[in-house]
Amino acid sequence: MWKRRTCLNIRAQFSAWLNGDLSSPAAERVQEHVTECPDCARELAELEWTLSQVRRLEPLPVPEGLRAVVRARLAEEVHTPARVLPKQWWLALAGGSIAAAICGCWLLWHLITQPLPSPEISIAQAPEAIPQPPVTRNMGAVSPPSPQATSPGKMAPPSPEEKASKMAEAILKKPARPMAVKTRPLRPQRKPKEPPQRRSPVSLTSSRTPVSPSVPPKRTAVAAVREPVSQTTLSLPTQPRAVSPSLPDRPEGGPDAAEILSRMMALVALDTRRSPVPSSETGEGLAIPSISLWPEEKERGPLEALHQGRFLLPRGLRMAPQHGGWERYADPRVIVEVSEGK
Amino acid sequence: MPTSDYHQVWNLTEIPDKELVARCQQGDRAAFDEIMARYESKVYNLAYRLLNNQDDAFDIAQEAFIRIYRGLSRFRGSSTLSTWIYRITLNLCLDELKRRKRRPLSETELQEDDTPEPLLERVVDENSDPNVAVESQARQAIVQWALTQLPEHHRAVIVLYDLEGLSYTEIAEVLHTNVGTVKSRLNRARAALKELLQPYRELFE
Repeated sequence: MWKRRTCLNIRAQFSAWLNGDLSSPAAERVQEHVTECPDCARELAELEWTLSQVRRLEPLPVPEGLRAVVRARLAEEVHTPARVLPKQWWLALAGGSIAAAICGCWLLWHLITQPLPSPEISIAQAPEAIPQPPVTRNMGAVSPPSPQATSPGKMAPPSPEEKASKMAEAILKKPARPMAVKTRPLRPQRKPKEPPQRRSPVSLTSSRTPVSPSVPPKRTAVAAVREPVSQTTLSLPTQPRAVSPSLPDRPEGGPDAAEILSRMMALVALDTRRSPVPSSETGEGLAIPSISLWPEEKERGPLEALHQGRFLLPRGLRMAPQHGGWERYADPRVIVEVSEGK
Repeated sequence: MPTSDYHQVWNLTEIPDKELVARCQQGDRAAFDEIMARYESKVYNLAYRLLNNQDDAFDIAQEAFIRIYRGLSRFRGSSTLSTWIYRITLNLCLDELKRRKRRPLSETELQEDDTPEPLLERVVDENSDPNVAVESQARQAIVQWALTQLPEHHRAVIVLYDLEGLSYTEIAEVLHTNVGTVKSRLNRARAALKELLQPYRELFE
C-alpha cells in the first residue's frame, strides 16, 4: 500500500521530470525510485517513447494558395484595417436595445389601438366592386371584376384605378374595429407540390350576387404569402385536399365570402394607389393581385374557405394592419393571420 | 542595384513582429503578408492537429488570418503576436469542434473514432506521398488518431507544448488559464496518449 502510493506520486511527476521542470531534490527522488521500481521504470520508458513519437510528427506543408485566398478576401473589404469599436460599445448597445424596446411597445400599442377599415363600410361604399365567390365548390373559371359590371348606374364607368381609390378612401374615412395580426412560420406539410393556380384555377367574378352590407364581420382573413400569383385574377385551386383540423370553425354571423374578399380587394387597391407594384412584377395598369386559397381549403370549396379567412396572397405582399394596406414582404413562407381584435 | 521593392521585402523578413504589427496598423499590406508567411505553417498545423482534417484546417487558417487582420488595429501588444495568433486559431478550432459535436457523425467518422485501423488502411491505399515511406505515414496517422481521442483542451496543450514548442506561460495565455492547469493537463494528456499508443507499439518497431 505504501509502495503503491509512492509509485503514484512519482508517476505524477514523470511529465515534469521529462520536461526538466523538477527541482534537484525532486528530480533525484524520481531517479532513485525508478532505479528501484521496475514498474515505474517501465511506465517512464513508455511515456518517453510516447513523447518521442508525438515529437516526431512532421508538420504538414501548407496548401498552396492559402495566402492568396486570404489576400483576395481582404481585397474585397475596405482598404483600411478593421473598424475599431468605440470604448463605450456596451453603452451604445444598451441604448440601442432600449430604443428598440420603446419602438416595439409603440408598435404594439399602435397595432392594438389603430382601427382598421371595416368590411361593411367598404361594401356600402362600393358594393358593385365586390367580387362574388362561387357558391358551389367546383366552380368553373370566371373573370375578374370589370369596370362595366361594377358600376352599372353611371354614365361613365370609373376606371379600375378610380374604383380602387374610392374603395380605399371609403375604408380610410370610416372607423372600424381593430384587427389583430399574428404571424407564424409556414408548416412544411402545408406546402403544395406545385402552385395551386397552375392546376385548374377558378376565378371569382366581381358581380354575381350583391352582398348584403348589413352582416357585420366577426372574423376577417388569414392571409398567407406563398407563391407568385398572376395579377388581376382571383384564382382558386379546385383539386381537393385534406382540410387542416386546426382551422377554426366559422363563427355564427361572421362575414360571408364576398365581404372578406371585398375587404381584401379594397386593401389591395389602397396599396396600389399609394405605392404601385413595380411593373416588372405586375404588368401594366392597375395591379390587383389575385387571391388564391390554401390547398387544404379546396375541399371545403371557396365559399367556406373564405369564411375561414385563409388566403394565399401573391409573393411579396402582406397585410399591414397598422396602415390598412399591403406591404412588401421578403419571405413568402409566412402566414399572416388577420382577425378582429377584442 | 537592388530595387526599392527588393529592399522592402528583404527588410520585412528581418524586422521583428512588433514592427510588422505597427506597419499593419498603418495599413501596410506587405507587412501583413509577411506575418502570414511567418505564421501560416503554425496556424495551419495547429488547426490540422486539433481538427484532424486538412480541408477544415485550410478553412480555419483562412478565417484565422482574416480575423488577425481585422483585429490588428486593436492589438496593443499585451501578449506576443504569436500567442495572440495561436489564441485566435485555437478559438476557431474549438468552435469548429463544438459545431461537429452538434451535427451527427458520418459512418466513416464513427469508424475512425473507435480504432485507427480504417485510417491505416486508407493511408496504405492512398499513399499520398511516394517520397515518404508508408510505414512512416502509418505511424504518423496512428499518433494523429491518438491525439484526436484526447479531450480538446488536453489535445491543445500537448500540441502547443510538444509540437509547437510553447512555454507553460505562453500556453496559459493562449488558453486563458494558469500555469498549474497547463502542467496538470499536459501530465494527464501524455498519460492518456501513452495508453492509447501502447497497443500499437509493435507497428512502430
